[in-house]
Amino acid sequence: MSRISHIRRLSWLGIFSLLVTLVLSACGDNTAAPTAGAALTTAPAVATTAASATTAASATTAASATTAASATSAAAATTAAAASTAAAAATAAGAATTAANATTAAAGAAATLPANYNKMNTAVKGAVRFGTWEGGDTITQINQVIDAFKKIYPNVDVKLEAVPTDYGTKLQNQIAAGNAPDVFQIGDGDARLFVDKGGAEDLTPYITGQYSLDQSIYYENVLNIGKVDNKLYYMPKDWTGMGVYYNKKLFAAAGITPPANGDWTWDQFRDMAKKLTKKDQEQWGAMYFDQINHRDIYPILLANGADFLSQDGTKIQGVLDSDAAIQSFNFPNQMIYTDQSMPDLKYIKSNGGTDLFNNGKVGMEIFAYWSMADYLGAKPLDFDWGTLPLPHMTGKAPTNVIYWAGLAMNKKSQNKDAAWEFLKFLSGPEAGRIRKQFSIKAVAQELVAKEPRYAPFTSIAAQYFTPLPELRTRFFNDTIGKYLDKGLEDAQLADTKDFTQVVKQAAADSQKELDRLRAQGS
Amino acid sequence: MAVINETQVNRPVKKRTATQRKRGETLAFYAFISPWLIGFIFLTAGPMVATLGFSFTYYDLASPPRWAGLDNYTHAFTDPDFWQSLKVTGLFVLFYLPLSIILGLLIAIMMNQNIKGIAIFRTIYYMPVVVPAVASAVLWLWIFHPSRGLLNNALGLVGIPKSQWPYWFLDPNWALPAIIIMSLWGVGSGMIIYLAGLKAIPQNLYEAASIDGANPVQRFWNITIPQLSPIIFFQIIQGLIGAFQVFAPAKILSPSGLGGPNGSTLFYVLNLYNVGFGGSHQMGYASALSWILFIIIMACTLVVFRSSSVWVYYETERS
Repeated sequence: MSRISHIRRLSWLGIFSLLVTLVLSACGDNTAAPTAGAALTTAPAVATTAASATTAASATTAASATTAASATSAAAATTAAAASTAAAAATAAGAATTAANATTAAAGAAATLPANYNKMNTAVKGAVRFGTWEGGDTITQINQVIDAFKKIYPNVDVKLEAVPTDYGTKLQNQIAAGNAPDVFQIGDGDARLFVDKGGAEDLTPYITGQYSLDQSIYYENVLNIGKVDNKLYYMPKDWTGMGVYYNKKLFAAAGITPPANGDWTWDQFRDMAKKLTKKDQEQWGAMYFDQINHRDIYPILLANGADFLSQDGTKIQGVLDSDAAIQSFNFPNQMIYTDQSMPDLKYIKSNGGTDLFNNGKVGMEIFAYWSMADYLGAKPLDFDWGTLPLPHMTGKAPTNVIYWAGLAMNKKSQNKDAAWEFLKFLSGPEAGRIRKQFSIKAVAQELVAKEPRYAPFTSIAAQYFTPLPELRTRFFNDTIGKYLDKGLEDAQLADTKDFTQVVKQAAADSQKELDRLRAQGS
Repeated sequence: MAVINETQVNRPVKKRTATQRKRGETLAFYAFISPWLIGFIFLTAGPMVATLGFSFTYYDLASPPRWAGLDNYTHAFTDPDFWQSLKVTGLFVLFYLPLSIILGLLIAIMMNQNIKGIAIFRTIYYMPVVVPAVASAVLWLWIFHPSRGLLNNALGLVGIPKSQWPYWFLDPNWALPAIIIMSLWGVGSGMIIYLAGLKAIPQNLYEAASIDGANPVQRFWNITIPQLSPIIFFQIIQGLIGAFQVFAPAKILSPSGLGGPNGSTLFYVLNLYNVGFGGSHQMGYASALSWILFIIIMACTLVVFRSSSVWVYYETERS
């Protein structure tokens, strides 16, 4: 029943959108145009001059206001941070807080927004449609961003199109029908597809053009995620790296001090996990959030010099099944079965699942920043907790992996200039402050100063991101995303102590499917 | 004069109503079924024809379909997921269909007793049908919970040690049985139809049989079953079509919604959904899969239809 209704809905949508576009194109572009034209002809001279005057005024004031605000708040933030480090050092008891502050300080000197970082084109007008999958609370923030945008660009009408379910499918239909939103958001799994299929506009000429944006305000590694073949297609929207939440109570009970400066190795992590484990009390040293998937292992994979697939996105076999890769996948297994310091998946799923850490049963949990909001607000923990950067391999540089959603401009947009202004604003500092996003260094420092425990997932992790393997081929989810994750899940549920065969099989299946899909051409 | 006048006036009117009424009735008929007809043409038949076309193409939604010939169909037969999904669905149909028919009938017979408050029991047994699929799946997720679930704790009360409790949806051997058990919870929909059938059986048949000395078992096999056979037939056809298209439980209950563990809940339609709506949207292949399923269901339905002449009893066909 569901199958038929899905196919039905899909095809119907296709037919309907075709009809709509036909009707619209027959009527002459779109309905907004004639009304706008009419408004202009009624009072041409007065209206336009007035409009330009106000926009210019509001633009400059707004710009100066924001830069001023950010400068002062950034300064305040750094002084606050410095003060707290001094205080912590003086007490010497809170070793963890000093570590956190030290690492934030290490993340770079206080960044401020350069003057005139955004060359605004406030003369733009018309409608800009923005497609998003957000719903609920996050929509409120998006609406606040849109309101703030409208204050600076009063002649631009931003239309929010929220599609919380089947977003990707609908967007793909819209791209095919040529009626996709002017600006739309994309998850890391679909990003390559929309570049290959001509849905996303190359933003490189815009960001360096007449109405440019200073790229240095962003974390370079975060901005780079949106690049394919050295061309920028996506501005950062939301992202997080991975880090470690730890239970200070269990640490103290086991007599463990958190690593100074957040500098620690996977071996240390493993040792600490052993010390934190108390089998008789069903207390575990560490766990990954829920089941281990391919991305959880990526930082270890990178540290071991391994990868999922070749850089050109054509070879999986020979890369994914290398000894170094298999060794990486087996790392958590050794903790689960040899050390018994991590619960196995069956235990996690049948004993409160991901609440094990919240219930004080786990010393360290590897995860992204998504638990922060809960722990700080809705579901506070009844024990003292801290966060740490991801460990690194002994003698090797730290590695991390990003979870990311980007913002694209529709290649077929009819209002690209306005879309670009909105895109800049949406990924800019003001939106970052409203939406608590860490893409811009200056904003991230403000947010981290307020809550240092965000740092491991954001300002620290941002130094170690590498481009996502998901963007090397649009068939990533059909191949590695499918066979490897399925294989890992089955293996974990079957208590497989050695992942060698699982990874080899996944590599073979993925390669076969990749070859088949690539042979189908574009 | 008056008589002549009347016939003169009436005759053409009568003639007109005869033809007009027929045409009017035809029009009214189409007007009344038009909501369904329009829905069928645009929402069912049209898309069906479209998927038939897409099934011969490579189509990923984002760019126009490109001709693939029979590639999608031949790929299905070399795709391990296709065979696995066929196996899972086949097993489900094999176990669920007979069980649901028998259980539905048994409950209907129980609900046909003249006991005080029987309406309450009927409501209780029908209730699961009204519960949305997603809600009931989430409910059963808790019933089957490995350590805190109602079912496993009941097993514990019977004396089965905790170490032997099944992991249900986390165990490749128990996941499908769990879904079958869960699906049987919804037999109320069949029950209500059997109940209507039971009520329609003339009491004089039972009376006559009793006078002839038939015991309850004989009455059941020689009166109830033959009289209900058209309804059982209808239920088999409906159940068959429905059972082949199971989707929601597997999507919600398998660990990451992909038909695991180890493909044990990879139902045909779930596989089809993963192909079409996961990854890079292989709509051409998904369309081909849906047409293969259509042919399978059609063939199974035909077999049941053909067999019906042997065992289905129609009052009107007698004599």
